[in-house]
Amino acid sequence: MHFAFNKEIVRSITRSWTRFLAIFAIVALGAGFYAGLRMCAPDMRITVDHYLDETGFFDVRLVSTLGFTESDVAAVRDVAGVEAVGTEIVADATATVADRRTTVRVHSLDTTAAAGSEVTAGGGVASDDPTYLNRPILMDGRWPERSGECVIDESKLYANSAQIGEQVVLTAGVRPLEDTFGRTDFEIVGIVHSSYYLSFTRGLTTLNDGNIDRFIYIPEEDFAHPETYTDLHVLVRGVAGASPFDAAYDDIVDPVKGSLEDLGPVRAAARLAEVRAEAQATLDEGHREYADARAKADAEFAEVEAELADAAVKIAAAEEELADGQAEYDRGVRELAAERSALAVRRAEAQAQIDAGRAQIASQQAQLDQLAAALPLLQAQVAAARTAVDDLRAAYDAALAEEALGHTPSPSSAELAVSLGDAEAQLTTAQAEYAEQFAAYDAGVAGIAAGLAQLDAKQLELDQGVRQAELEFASAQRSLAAARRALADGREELEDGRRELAEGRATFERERADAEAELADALAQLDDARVEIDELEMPEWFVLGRDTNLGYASIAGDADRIEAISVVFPFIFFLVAALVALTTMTRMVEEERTLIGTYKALGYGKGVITSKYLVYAGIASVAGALGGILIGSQVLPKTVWRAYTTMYTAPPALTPIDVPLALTAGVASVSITLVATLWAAGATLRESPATLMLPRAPKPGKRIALERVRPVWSRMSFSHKVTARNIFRYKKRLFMTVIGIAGCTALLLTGFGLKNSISDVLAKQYGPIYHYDTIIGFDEGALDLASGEGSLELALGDRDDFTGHLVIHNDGVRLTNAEDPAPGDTNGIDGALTGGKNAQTTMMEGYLSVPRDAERLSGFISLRERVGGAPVPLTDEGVVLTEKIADRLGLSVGDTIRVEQVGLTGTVDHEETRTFTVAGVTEQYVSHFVYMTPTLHEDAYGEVPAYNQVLAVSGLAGDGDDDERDQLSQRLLALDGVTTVQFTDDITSSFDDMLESLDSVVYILILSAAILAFIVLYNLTNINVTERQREIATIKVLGFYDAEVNAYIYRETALLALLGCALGLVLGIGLEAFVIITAEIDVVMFGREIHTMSYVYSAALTLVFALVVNVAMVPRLRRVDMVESLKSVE
Amino acid sequence: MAFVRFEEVRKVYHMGEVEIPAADGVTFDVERGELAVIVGPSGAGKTTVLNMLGGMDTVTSGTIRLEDDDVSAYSRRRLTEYRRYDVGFVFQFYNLVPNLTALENVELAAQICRDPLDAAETLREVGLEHRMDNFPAQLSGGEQQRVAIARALAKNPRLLLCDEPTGALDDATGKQILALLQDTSRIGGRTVIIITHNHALTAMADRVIHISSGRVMDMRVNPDPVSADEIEW
Repeated sequence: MHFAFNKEIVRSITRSWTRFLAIFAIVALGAGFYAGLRMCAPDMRITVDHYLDETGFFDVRLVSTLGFTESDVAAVRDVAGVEAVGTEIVADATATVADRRTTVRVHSLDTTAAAGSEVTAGGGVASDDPTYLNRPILMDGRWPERSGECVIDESKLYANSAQIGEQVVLTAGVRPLEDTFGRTDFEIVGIVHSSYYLSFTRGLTTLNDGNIDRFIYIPEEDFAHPETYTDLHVLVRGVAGASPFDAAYDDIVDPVKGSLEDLGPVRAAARLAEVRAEAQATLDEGHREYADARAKADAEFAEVEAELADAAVKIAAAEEELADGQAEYDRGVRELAAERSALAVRRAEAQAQIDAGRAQIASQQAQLDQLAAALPLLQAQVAAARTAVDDLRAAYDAALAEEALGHTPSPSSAELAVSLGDAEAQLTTAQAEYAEQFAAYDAGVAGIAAGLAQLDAKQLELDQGVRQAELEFASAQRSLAAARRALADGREELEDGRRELAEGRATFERERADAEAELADALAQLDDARVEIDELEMPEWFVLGRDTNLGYASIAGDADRIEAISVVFPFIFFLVAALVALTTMTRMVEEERTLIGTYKALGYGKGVITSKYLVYAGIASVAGALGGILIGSQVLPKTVWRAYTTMYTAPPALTPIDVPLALTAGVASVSITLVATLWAAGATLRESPATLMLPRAPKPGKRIALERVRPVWSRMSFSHKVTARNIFRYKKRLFMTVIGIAGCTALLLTGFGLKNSISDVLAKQYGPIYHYDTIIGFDEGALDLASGEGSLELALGDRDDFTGHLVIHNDGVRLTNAEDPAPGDTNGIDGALTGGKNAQTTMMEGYLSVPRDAERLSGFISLRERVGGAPVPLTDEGVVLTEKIADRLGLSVGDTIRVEQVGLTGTVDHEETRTFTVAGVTEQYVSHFVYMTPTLHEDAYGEVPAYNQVLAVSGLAGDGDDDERDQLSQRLLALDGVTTVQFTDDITSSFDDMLESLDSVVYILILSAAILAFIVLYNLTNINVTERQREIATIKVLGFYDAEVNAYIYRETALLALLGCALGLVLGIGLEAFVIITAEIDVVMFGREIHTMSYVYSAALTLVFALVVNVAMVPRLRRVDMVESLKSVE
Repeated sequence: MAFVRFEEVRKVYHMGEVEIPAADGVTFDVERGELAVIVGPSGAGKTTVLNMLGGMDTVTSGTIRLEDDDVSAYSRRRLTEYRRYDVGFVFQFYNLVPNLTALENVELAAQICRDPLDAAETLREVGLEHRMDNFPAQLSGGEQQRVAIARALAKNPRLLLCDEPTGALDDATGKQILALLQDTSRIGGRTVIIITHNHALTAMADRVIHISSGRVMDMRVNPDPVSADEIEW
C-alpha cells in the first residue's frame, strides 16, 4: 500500500507497547480462557474416546437373562455392521481380598489374548485378537497364566490394600459359588486399570451393601460354565472416526443396535428352545434316573424284605427248636430225677439187704464170738486135759517108771493108766470137742468171712452200682446243664435275632421312608423342573449402549457440565476485552486526532486511515488470540482434567486444538476488538480535517445525581467531587473497570467458594451432621432381634471401645418422584443412571436407612434443615429425605416419593416398590438417604427391616492413632457376624486428595482474576494518566503535593475497584452457585455456603491487585511534565 | 530590592546530543505591585522563564529570587509548596478542571492554601457571580479565563503569572481579561507578570521586558501605561 503509512503503523506499535500489550493481553486472556474452557469438554471427550478406542471399549453390550452360547456369538457376528464380538463372563461375589471383606465383580479373562496384548504409547492396550475387547491395562505384575491367578483393579479407595502375591478368596456369590465358579481362591499376580471402570464407583450389585468395591479378572476356565457367556461386547464397524459423543456415532451404532434388538427375540427363541431342550433332556434323564432309582429301591426293598422274612422264619424255627430242646431237657431232668429216686430205692433195698446180711453176720459173729470165747475154754479144757493127760502120763510113766522100779505109786500106773486112759479119753473127747468146736468156729469164721465177703461184694457191687449211677447221673446232669446253657444261648441268640430283626425292620422302614422321601423329592424336583421348563420365559436381550456404562456415562455427564460452565465463564472476559479494546482504541484515536486530521488533509481516505487502527488492533488481537488460545487450550483442559481424574482412572488429557472452537475464540475476540476499534475510530473520522486539527473540546463536565443530595455533596472535597464526576463522565471506563474488577472478584470468589463448597462436603458431613466415627457392617442374621440379645450387640455394648452405638438398616434403592412416570428398568443393569424407558424421569440412587431406635438417631446423625439448622424430626408420619434428593426430584414436604428396590442384576424389583410421604428434608452432603422409622418400614413392607449396620462412636476419630484403630478393627472383625469395620477418618482422608487437585483449578482462577485485574486497572490508570495529563499538570502547577496528585487520580481507581469488588462479590455468589450446581456430581452435594473469609480473601486480593497496579503507576504520574503539558493542546 | 529578580538564569535542554539553551543568562527585576509584560517572539525563551519563575522548572544555573527567597535553590518538594502558596498561574488554555464547576475550580486552588480568598467573592470580582455553578464547557473562552484568573487569585498568591492569557481569545474578550489583570495589579496591588508574544500588550505594562534568543534584549519601565481598554492590536 503506502510504504510510509505502513511504517507509521509499525512505529505506532513499537512506540506504544503498553497500549499494544493491553489489547494483546486482554484478547489473549479472553480468547485463551474461552478456547481453553470450551475445549475442556471436547478434550475430555477426545481423551475418553481415544482411551476407549485404544482399549477396545464396546459400542454395544449385550446381556441376556439366559446367557449366550457360541451360536449366539456367531449370530451376533453375522449382524451387518458388527466388526467384532467379544465374550465375557461376569459374576459378582463376596470375597476376602487381603483379609478384607470386599464385594467384587469377577470378569473372565482371555489369558492368551491378555498375554499377547501390549500397552500403547497413548495409555491404551493393543491386541491382535479382534475379539479381545474392554481390554484391561496391566499396571504392575503380570497377566494370569494358569488357573487360580487373577489381576485386580488399582483402587484409590482401597489404596495399597491388595498387593501382588496376596490372595482373593471368594466366599459367597449371588448363586451358590460352585454354580458360577470353578474355584474360589486366587492369587493376585497383577494390577490393572480398565476403561470399563472409568470411575471409582464400580457399580451396583445385590450383594452386601449393594456397592461393588473392586473388580478382578480371572482366567475364563476358572468359571464353572466357561461355555456360557453372560455378556457380549460388540464393536461396530466404521465408528473409529466418530466421537461417541456425537450424533454421527449414534447414527452408525443405532442401526446395529436395532439389528441386534431384532436379533434378540430370534436368538432368544433359539436359546430358549436350546435351554428348554437341554432342560428337557436333563429332565428326561432325571426321570429315567428316578425310574431307575425307584426300581432299584423297590428291588432293594423287596430283597431286604425277603431277607427279613427269612430271618423271621429262621427265628421261628429256632424258637421251635428251642422249645423242643426245652422239652427234652425238661424230660431229661424229670427222667434223671426218676432214675435218681429209683436208684435211691434200689440202693436202699440193697443196702437194707446188705445191712440185714451184716446184721446176720453180726449175729453169727456174736455166736462165733461166743464160740470163740468158748474156744479158749475148750482150749483150756484141752490144755487142761492135755495137761492132765500129760500129768497122768507123766504120773503114769512115773508111776510105771516107779512101778517099773517098782514102786507102787499111789495112784498106780494102772490106776493111772485107767485115769490116763480116762484122761486121755477125756482129752480126746476135749480135743474132739475142741476140734469140733474149733472146726465149728472156723466154719463160723469162714461162714462169716464168706458172708462178709459176700456182703462186701454186695456192698461193693451196690456202691459201684450207685457210683456208676451217680456218674451216669452227673453226666446226665452235665448234659442237662449243657442243654440248658445251650437253650439259654439259643434263647439269647433268638432274642438277638429277634432284636436284630426288629432293628433291621426298623432300619429298613426308616431307610425305605428316607428313600421314599428322597425319591419323592426327586420326583417333586422333577415336577418343579418340568414346571420350570414349562414356565421358562423367553430370554430377554438387553442391548446396551455405552451410555449404560457407569464410568462412561458419568464422564459424559461431567463433560456436559464443564461445557455448561464453559459457556458462561468466558463471557466476562469477552465483555471486558471489548471494553478494554474500546477504551484503548478510543484513547489512541483521540491521541492521534491531529494525525488523523493531517492524513485526511493529505488526502488519505477514511478507509485507509481506519485501516491503520484496524491493523493495529488486529495485530494485537490476533497475536493475543493466538497466544491465548495456544496456552489456554493446553493449560485449562489439563488442569480441569486433572481435577476430574481424581474421580476417574484415565490417562492424561489429550489436548488437541479444536479448530472450530479456536477459530470461534479467535474470530470472536479479534472481531470484538475490531468492532470496538471501528466504533472508536468512526466518530473521530467523521469530523472534518479542520476540526481535527483543533484540540478536541474537552468532554463537558456534567452534574451527577449525587449532587442533588446536597448534604452529601456539599461535604465532599473537590477531589472527591472530581472523582465522583469523573467516574460517571467516562462511562466506558466505568463499565470496563467495574466489570473487569467485578469479574476478577467474582472469579476469586468462585475459586475460593468452590474450595469452601467442596471442603464443606466433608467438614459438614462429618462435623455437625454425622456424629459417629465407625461403621460396623454385619451379616443380617447376626443380630437376634427377637430377644435383642445378639452376640454382636452385646459385644458392642460391653465394650469400652464405644461410647454409643445405633443399629441401622441400610439398603440401596432407586428414587423417583412419585408423580413422574415410573422409569424403565433396563437401565439398572450396571447401575448406570440412564433414563431407560422414561428417560425424562429423573432418578436418584440412594439408601433406604432405618434406625432401630429412631429417637436415638440424633446422637449419631443430625437431621436438620440446612438453612437455619432447625431439627427435622423422624416420625412414623413419613420419610425424611436428604437435601439433594429433594432438590433433584423436585420434592418438598407433603409430596410423595417412589422408592424402588434394586434386585438381581440391578433390575428393579417391582414387587417391592413403595411410595412414601415426605415429612422432612435434611442437610446432607455425601450420598443420599431416605430415612424412615422401623414402624413405617413395617407398615410399608410388612416386615421389620433386616438390620445390617451399626453406627458407633469410638472416640478414636481425628486423633490419627492408626494403631489403636487397627486394633479395634481387628477385635471387631473377630466377632461373629461382623463383616466390615470402617472409620470415617479413612473416608475423609481419601477425599482430601480430591480437594488438593482442586487447588489447581483455584490457582487458575486466581491467576486469571489477577491478569484480568491488572489489565483492566493498568489500562484504566494508563488512560486516566495520559488523557488527563493536562489536568494532572494543572493541579501540579496549582501546587498539589505528589501524594495529593496520586490520590486525585487513584481515588477514582480505588473507588471503581471498590465498586467492582462489591459487584463482583454479588456476581461471584451467583457464579459460584452456578458452577457448584452445574459441576456437582450426583453422589455428593457440595456445600452451598461461601465462607466469610472467602469474601474477605476475594475482596482483599482484588484490592491488592489494584494497589499493585497503582503503585506501579506512581512513577508515571510523577513523570507527568507540568511544562510540556501546559504548552498547548496537541 | 526588587520583588522578583532573575540573575544570569540559564536553562539548557538536552535533546539527545544537542544542547539547546532556552534561557541563556536572563537577568531582570520586577518590583512589587508592578504589572510586567515579558514579550518576545516564539522560541525566544519567555515560557522557559515563566516556567522557572512559576516553580515548574528548575534552572541550569543562575538565581531566581522572590523577595528574599532563592527559588532557584528550592527542592522539588519546596517548589511544590512555592507553587502552592506563592504563585498564581493563568494559562493560555485556561486549564480548568472540566469536571468542576467554575466555583469549584476556584475552590480547588483555594482549599490547599494557607490564607485563601473567598472563592465566590473572587468569582464575583471577576464578574462571574452568575456563572458560578457552570462547568467550563458551558462557559465561553473569556469566562473560562476569568475563572482561571479567579482560581489564581483566590490562592492569594504573592505573584500572579499569566502565560499568553489572551492567546486563545478574541480581541474584545482579550481586552476584558487584560483589564481584569490590570485591575488586579492596580487595585489589588498584586505583582502580575504577563508573558506574551503580542507587543500590543506592552502599552499597558508598568514594566516591559523584551526577550529574544534566550536573553533579555531590553527592559524598561513604562512611565505611562495605558488602560487595557485602550490597547489596539
